[in-house]
Amino acid sequence: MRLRTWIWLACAAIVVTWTGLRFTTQPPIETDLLALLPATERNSLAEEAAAQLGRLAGERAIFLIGLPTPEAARAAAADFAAAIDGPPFHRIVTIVPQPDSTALIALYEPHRTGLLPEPLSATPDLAADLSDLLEARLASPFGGGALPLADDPFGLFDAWLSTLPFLQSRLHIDDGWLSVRDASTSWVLISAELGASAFDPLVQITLTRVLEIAEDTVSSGWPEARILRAGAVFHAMNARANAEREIRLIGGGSLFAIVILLILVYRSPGPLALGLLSVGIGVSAGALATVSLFGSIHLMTLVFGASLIGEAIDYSIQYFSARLGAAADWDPGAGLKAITPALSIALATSVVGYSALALTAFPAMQQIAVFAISGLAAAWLTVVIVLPALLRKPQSAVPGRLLDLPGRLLQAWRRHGSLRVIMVSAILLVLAAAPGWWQLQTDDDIRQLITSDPSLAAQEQQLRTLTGFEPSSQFFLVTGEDEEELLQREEALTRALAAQRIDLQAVSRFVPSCHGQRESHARVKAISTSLHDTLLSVGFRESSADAWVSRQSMAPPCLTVTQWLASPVSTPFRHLWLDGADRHPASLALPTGYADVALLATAIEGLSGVTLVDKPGAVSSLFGEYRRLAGYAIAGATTLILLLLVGRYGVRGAVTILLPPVLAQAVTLGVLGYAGTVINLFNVLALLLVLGVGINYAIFMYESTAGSLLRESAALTGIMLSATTTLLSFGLLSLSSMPALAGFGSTLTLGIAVAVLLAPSALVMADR
Amino acid sequence: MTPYRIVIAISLCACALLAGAAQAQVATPADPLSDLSTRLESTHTIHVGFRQTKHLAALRQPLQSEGRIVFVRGEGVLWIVSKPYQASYALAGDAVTETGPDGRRRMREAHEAPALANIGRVFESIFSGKLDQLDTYFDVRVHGTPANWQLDLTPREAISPFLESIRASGGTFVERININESRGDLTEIEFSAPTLDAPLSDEDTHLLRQR
Repeated sequence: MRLRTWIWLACAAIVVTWTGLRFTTQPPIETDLLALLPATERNSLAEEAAAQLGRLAGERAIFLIGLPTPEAARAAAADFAAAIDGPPFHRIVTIVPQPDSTALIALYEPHRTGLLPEPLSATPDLAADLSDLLEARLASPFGGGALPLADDPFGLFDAWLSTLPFLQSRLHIDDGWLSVRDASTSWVLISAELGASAFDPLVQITLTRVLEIAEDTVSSGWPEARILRAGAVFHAMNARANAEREIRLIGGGSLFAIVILLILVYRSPGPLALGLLSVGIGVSAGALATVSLFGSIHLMTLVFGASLIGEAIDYSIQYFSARLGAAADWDPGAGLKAITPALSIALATSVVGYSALALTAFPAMQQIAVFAISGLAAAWLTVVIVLPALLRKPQSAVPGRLLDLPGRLLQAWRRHGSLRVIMVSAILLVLAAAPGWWQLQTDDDIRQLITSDPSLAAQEQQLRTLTGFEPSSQFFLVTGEDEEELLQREEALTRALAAQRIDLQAVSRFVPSCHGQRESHARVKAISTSLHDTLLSVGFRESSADAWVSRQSMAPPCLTVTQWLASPVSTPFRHLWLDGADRHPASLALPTGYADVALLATAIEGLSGVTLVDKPGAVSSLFGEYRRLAGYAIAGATTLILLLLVGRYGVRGAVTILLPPVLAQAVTLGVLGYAGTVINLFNVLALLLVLGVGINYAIFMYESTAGSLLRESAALTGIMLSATTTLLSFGLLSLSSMPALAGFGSTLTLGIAVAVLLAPSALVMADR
Repeated sequence: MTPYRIVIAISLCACALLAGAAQAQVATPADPLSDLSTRLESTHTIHVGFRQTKHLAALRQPLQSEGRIVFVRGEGVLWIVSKPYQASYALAGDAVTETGPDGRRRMREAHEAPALANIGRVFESIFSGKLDQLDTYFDVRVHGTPANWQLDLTPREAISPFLESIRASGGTFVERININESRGDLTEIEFSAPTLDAPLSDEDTHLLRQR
């Protein structure tokens, strides 16, 4: 007994110390929203591509500096750029990286006779169009193209270069800066790349400081300057700040309430200290288990973890209540023996409830499950092992008044409650709730996970409007047996989307398929005689026209992706090509501008080797699938818990205990329906816990029967205390800025409140 | 688009000289262009005639055209060809409007015709006396006196492998610009009868502001 206590306390000391150190020095806290999301793509390549794009976007921050005049905006932007140059940024870009013309000419010139710009490759009368181009070129006062007139009289090479999708936005280069103007303001764009992950806490801390300095610099020189920012890192910083605030609120609020209630009820420092000890060990163990299993702990898990305080204290409270109820007869060993079954069943039902969370594919939910199960188990062990050893003396002064209210409540239940009354009430409750069930609406949108800061969202919206960048969260994954097939499939995709007026950023826009290059070459070659005449008619020398025709007749070598990748021209677009030595080539194709997902999906019907990757859509539909699955999980968990209860209490006892939480679920669902709440996976998972946690009160109630009124009153006091702390914790959780957690918290609060109110029915039915 | 830098560069230095503000890069005490730039600094509009001759190696005969150029500070540039065909190019704001010899009008947004649009912006910024870009693309040298000066621009790398040099000359105003390209292609532009701050005709206003 002694030894066991010391061993557990030593283990607990190690766990608490480890967790304390780990979380004060370098908290392994994950803020990446993507880390919350399950793998959705059957195709591992698509998953990899989505991750790659996410990383790319995550590492970039964009700033727009706005002032009334372009000069001031540029000067302010220069100061801002200088101020943020350095960690955490490893590169500050004030101009969109555009390859110089020598690189473009070096890459494309040798292959130019096979390159025909998109609009011309489909024109019905190429000869006429080319002759128009020649006339326009000769007439234009601005003359020169990339190549001398003799080499490229029709300006085909220029036209090819100008269709390359380099800069497709409203931005223009003004005095070396990317600029855009609206009615009253000139904006200058600065793009910055982070040297590390946007979710690295160190990066976020450094960035906050650097930005403060940079903003001070700008506003001291230009008080009216406006600075817009966009980037995943700001959302991550925001999420971290919110979560930290919420952890303080929920954790602090719960602890404060526990301290006050324990002091009020038990009036001695022992229960308070031991209660806090069990909670501390529980929360530390939860954090340790989660970090050991997942490598880090997500902010969402921590916020939830803070709300676990209210539940972890329940086991201690049961012990204190037993002590209170026994008064002077208190014997720690016997007392523990009396409550152990109840505590064990309560732990088991919670474990069943939380285990169902672990079965979902959501890392976030799995973390919450691991955190809760290990935390509750540690709290339970502390109560069972440590409390009887350290809290041996009976409760010194039993405050009579304290037990008055629970005593009166019990008598009232006994007087008015009968099996019939309870059954009729249950049926009435179900009937009242039922119409609400049919008003339930569901929405499985992924945004439930995201805390959206209105100011940040407004800045991003303004930035999108100004620049014309409309980042799409969908993309295409294109695969082929070889490079040629891949490029041809991309071209088919480009054509299919062009029919829907959707533009595409893809490798084949820079490197047409060899087939396409040969076809382009053949098209011009086929009309070279007539073009020769055209050249002569506008005044070309015979020799120049001949030279052009003979160059045009030679089949050019095909430009390849390898050549493109080796050229600096491809630098800004290299992410489109997926490297992979041991597999078939694959590439990404990004629709530019806003496009309806359904439209994208229909556009690619019948195209082979093209997959539409819609990560938000896939996650949302997975949410929906799991929401439905969670419904079955509730049925499964109920059956499992029923079997567990039948083992100890018999069929009648089991039904008696199950009735309150099951009714609570029914009522909660009804209330959610009446309230017009749009429910999702998280509400359903919360309902599952209403069963796993809400059942505890019925168990405690049932176990406390067949004793003195004092004992029963003490038990009810404990239950009310437990319920208060649990409800407070989950109630605070419902204030979370994360919609998913808020919904989770409010559903739990509502359900558990109903479960607690109905718990005394167990007492009445147990009497029979 | 980068290949158009040559075009931009050419237009840029033409404008630089017309606006006479090239001293930004060659700020020596005896700057032959300082008179010119001071005079034009606060000018709102400039009308100037031009005659352009392109000697192109591929062509039997040089191409000649005549017309006039109108700069309007803060609005844009009009390049109006009157001989041997009628055409106009209006570069204003975020759009380029081309009226071809056949009378067909073609309006393009900046991002559809980046080359022309860039010229428009560059023209405007040059005309406003901001020439920092010239130095980015060219090595700039000035000789002579305010009454008879000569400006040589040698392109730095990465503008165009085919542009060799640009030479401008003039006195109280810019008189001539020669653009040398490889393979013997040469463009000569002569300017005549500059008028400062003359009112904008209705027709020009229409051309510049048409949308």
